[in-house]
Amino acid sequence: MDYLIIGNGIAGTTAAENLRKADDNAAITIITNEDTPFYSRLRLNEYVAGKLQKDALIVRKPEWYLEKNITLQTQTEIKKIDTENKKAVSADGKEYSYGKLLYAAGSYPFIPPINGVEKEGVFALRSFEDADRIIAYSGDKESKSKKRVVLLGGGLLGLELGHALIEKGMEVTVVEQFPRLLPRQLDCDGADCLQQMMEKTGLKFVLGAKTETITGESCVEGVALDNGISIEADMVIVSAGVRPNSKLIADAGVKVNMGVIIDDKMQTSVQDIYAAGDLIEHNGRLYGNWMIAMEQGKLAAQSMSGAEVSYSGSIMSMILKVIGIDLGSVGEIDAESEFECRVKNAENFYQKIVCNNDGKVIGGIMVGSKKGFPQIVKAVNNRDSLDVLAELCDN
Amino acid sequence: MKKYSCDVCGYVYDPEAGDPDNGVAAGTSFEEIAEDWVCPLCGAGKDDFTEVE
Repeated sequence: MDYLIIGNGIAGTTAAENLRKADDNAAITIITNEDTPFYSRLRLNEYVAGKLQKDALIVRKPEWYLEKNITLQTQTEIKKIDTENKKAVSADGKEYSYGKLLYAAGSYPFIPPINGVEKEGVFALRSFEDADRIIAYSGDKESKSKKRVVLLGGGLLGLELGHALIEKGMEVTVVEQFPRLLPRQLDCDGADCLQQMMEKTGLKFVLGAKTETITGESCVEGVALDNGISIEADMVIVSAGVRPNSKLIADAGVKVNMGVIIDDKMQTSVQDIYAAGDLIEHNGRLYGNWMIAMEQGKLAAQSMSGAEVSYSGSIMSMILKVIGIDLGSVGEIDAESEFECRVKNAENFYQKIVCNNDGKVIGGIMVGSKKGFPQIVKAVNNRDSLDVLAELCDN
Repeated sequence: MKKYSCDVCGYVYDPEAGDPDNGVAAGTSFEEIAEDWVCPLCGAGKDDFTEVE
């Protein structure tokens, strides 16, 4: 069997590794438009902050591909997928035939249609290329020429980047449309707890405000918000979520809604084309999460190599550490206070366990600690009743 | 005992602390951790860890 994988992120790379595990002899080719082997997108902020060199982010060195007998084709943009003749065609006219294709091209940063968003000094961070542009524009630490940054978006990626830039010696203001940070992962009290801890490190926040205009002649000079506040800035970094890279596959006739639609076998609407990672939509849900993309890459590979696979969706769960603050969020966070919850709220610590009407654990939040968080995740996955977490609720 | 960091996300495994949430007792050296253990932050396998100098 000839396997072709488009995309060398976590989903594509994990799939390649698992395809090789299942079949010693299959031809496996990964195609990417980027110029590096599989690297850690999670750590791009540390690269921007100057804490890590490029090489340190490269998780799979060229030797790995040799050893696994996986062909990696970098700097190759696929322009067309011919589903009838089962081949992908690159921009320079090269053809890659496949027996089975995995589409794992990931996502791109969403740039909201704000006035002035095309000005010089507006960036997003998703790739090495983006990171290099930001580094080049912000200059070195000593010159301090462009050190005031406005970050549009108080989500996961925005906060981690904000923290990295503070460490680089920049002044960072996070503007978030929602009235709280990490709106997908935290409720109001959890977000308040995190915000207070982050403010101590020098990050500034303006919440519940929309950016109306990015001001300046040709270069960024600031942002004007809809609440009347103006913030001077040398750079604007947009961190407003991601969107699936689905155009190429949609053009090929594969069914796409918000994301590329897959069934429980990780297969798209077209025979022998599978999809995994940020760009998929399964039962009406999109994910956009590193660990889930990894799980999907593995499942897709198993399915492609003939194993019986039945994907039933993933429970959103994340643990992260921003500025040394442990955070965990899983399943239903009950931001609207509709469910029964057990809450502990102290200085620098917040814990919430959410139960449904039957007393089963369906979600939780932790800020300031991750002790016991895996137990909450396990309880959610097993649909356990609250009793199993008695220890966490008591002390 | 030596610390190991995850190449993918930067998590550091400290043998003194272990990873009790995932069944690794404090005082367990990296080598002694079960092969199917994964990075608690990003899910990377043991192969993706490097010794911290």
